[in-house]
Amino acid sequence: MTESLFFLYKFLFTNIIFAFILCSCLRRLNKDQEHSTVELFLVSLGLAPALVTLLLYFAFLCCPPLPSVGYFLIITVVYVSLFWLGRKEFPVIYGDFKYWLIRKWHKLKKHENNGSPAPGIWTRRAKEITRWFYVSLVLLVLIYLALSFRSVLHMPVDGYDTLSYAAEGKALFKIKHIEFRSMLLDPETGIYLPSLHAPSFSLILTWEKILNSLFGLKSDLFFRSIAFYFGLLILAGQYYCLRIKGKWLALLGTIGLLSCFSFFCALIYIHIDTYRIFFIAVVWFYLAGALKKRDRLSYLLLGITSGMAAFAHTLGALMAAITILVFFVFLKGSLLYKLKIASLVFFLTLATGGIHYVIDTLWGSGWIFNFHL
Amino acid sequence: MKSSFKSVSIAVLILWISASFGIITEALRLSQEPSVTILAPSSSIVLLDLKAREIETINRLWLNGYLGLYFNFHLVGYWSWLALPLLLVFFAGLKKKKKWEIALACVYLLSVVLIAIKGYFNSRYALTLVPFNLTFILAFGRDIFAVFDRILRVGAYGFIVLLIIFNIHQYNPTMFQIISPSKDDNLPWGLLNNINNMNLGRDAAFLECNAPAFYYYTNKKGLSYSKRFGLKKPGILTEKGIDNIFQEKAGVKKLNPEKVARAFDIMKSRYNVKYIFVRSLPDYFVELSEIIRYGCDLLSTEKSYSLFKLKDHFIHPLLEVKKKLPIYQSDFSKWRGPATILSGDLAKTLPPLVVLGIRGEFSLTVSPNSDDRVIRLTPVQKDKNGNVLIFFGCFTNHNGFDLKIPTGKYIVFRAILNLSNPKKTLAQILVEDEIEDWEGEASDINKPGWNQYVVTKRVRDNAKNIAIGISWQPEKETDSLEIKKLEIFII
Repeated sequence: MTESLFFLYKFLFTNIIFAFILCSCLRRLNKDQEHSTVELFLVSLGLAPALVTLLLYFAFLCCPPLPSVGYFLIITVVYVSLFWLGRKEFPVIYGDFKYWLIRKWHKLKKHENNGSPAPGIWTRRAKEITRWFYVSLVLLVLIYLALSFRSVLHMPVDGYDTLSYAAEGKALFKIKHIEFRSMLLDPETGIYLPSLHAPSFSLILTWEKILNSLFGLKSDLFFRSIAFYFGLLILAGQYYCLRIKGKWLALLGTIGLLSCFSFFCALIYIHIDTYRIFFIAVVWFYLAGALKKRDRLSYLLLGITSGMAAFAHTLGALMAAITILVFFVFLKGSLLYKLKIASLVFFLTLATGGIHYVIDTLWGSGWIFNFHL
Repeated sequence: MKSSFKSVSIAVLILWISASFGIITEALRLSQEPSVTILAPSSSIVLLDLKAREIETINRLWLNGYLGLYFNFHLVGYWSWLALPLLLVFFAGLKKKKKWEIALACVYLLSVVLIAIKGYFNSRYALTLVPFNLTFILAFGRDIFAVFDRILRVGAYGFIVLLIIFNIHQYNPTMFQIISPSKDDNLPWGLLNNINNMNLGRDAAFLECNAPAFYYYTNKKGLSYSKRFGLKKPGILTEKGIDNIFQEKAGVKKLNPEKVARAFDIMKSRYNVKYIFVRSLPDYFVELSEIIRYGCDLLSTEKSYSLFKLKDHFIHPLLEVKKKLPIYQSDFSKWRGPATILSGDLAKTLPPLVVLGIRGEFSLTVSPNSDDRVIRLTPVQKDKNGNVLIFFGCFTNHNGFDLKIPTGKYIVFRAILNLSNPKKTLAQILVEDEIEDWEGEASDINKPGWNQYVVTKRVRDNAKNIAIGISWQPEKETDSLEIKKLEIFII
């Protein structure tokens, strides 16, 4: 019971509250109203834990080793600052969600005609049945996901790759320092770097251990739940994208993706896959958005999510590089304008995670000459 | 005009559905049945790895590897390939597409190529594009189907729904097994708890190989035996890199026992290794396998994990034979009989050697030179099934080979042989012991000319009998096997 309650606290704190704070900041930058609150909140749900790992990374890189409470305070201060920046948007976000929920509830309770003439009794009945069939399918999917999550709760950290990432997270918690010189992270325990990927995924466990240490508890449930959490975000994001074309299409997409065995395994088994796939998917979403809308927030999010994708995995770094290149080619405007915007996106990518590979190439393992996926 | 457009739409839809069934069934057939071309020698560990990844043939390499995003049906489902015809339609109408759509298509294609080239061996990388694939199929498909009339639209969507239902039907049982909360995990909790409870000195280390569970679940010091850092140099990972304690290149199949003995000493003296913790040790770690075999005692095994304790001394039989006398040494000068005999007369002509198994008939000829005698074995006759094979040597308590079964000890059998046709014939020297069934170690006789061959085997506890000898299956009547010396040691 204690572990579950503590997990709830870590989850709400890192994934939900931080996401609200991020969403409020992003909304403040959304002056043109090009981005909906739902979209910004979905992205923030993914960015929140990843930003925590990025902050930890820079703290380990730049500061001498501190006690765990020190890193907790650093991250809290950053988020409190972000909260202060976005504080005026909280009531707006709250209002948006409340309105959305009320609208959904009314739609569920009675059919809306949208001003058209009242349909005949058979058409009304058919639409009623269709609506409840849709709701039943959605409930089935949610029950299936709930059952799947139940298995995640009982599954320990296992599998060669995941254990290697977890060991890295454990070592980073112990040494509180990012190592580039040697593959051996911690000579005292013998823990080594499992790969040349950036340590974002491992830092999630490090963050959990920091929170654990404040309360004298031991648990890795938050780390174990991350794959499932990001899998849900991928499903939600896909639903959101397809919902524009139609709710039935969106539901078909969700069921289709869940029916894919490898995606299902990525959802259930603790691994890095859903974590890195989410950011790559969001990068492409904002590539399209940046080229279509050409607003500041899209450029900013393209840069940040590219950085997070790179920070998650080498494949993300390569895809971020491809995306920025394509963005530069297809961006409308003069050459100077394109260079300016693309450079901004590039530097944002570096600042939000890509810098790891630059440092590693120049002063570490020589990443670009040695990497493999 | 409208009716001709409708006919074309119907034709396109029928063509699409027909082609799709053809593609699916053909791709299924090709991906499931092994093709002729195997990409690695059958005896190599690489082939096992390729088989596990389902890319061990040319067909599978292309379908499950390079194009796995579309045709690795087992993992990506039966609908993913629909992106290909839709991509063709997309590029056919490129002029009318918006910039952001073309940009997304470019990024998508570049990513497909990147994953095909750099990530084909791991199906998890193909998974990266699966959500985008499905979103594209449904979103772009909807735009295309919008020009169809209602019945065709239902047919098109119905086809996609059928593929998804087929997916669910194929994998449904597996998915429900996986999410069952009673599912056992693969971790050796007992072993890990024992390790945590061990009272060791601060510097005492566990050598770990293929088992990162050690670092996550235990509080002890580990040393990693290199695996992920290339097989170029086997050794222990240190701050300065790999310490190649064996001074061997990777992939070496036959090791120098002296180098292995030296590596054992380095492990103990330089790194203070007390235990070795491994999980399903891969065969290509021959060096570590030798250390475990001759320098460790097995403490415990649990769920494919094993814990070994290093012995005080490394005892490799091939090193010990230099210090010991053989319990049997061939003396062909004691040949009792004519110069040429048939295999049935071997027991009385040259005890304690006996024929342990035979098909067909062989002749044995002893060389006339009494100082350096050589026995020459040749096939004489095949059996009624056309087979010719002989297994001869020593058998415990038969024909004067009075040996008390040395349980727990090593038997070393050494022979100097000359095989006339090593590439085409099957020949081995063997040591086997019997409890309920026979278990043995063998060394292939596979080089031309005179060579020394050695095989060692640890005699199992409760072994009832031991057989030590040579097995040979010649190809043709002119093949021959010459024997100069046979020695048996107990270490």
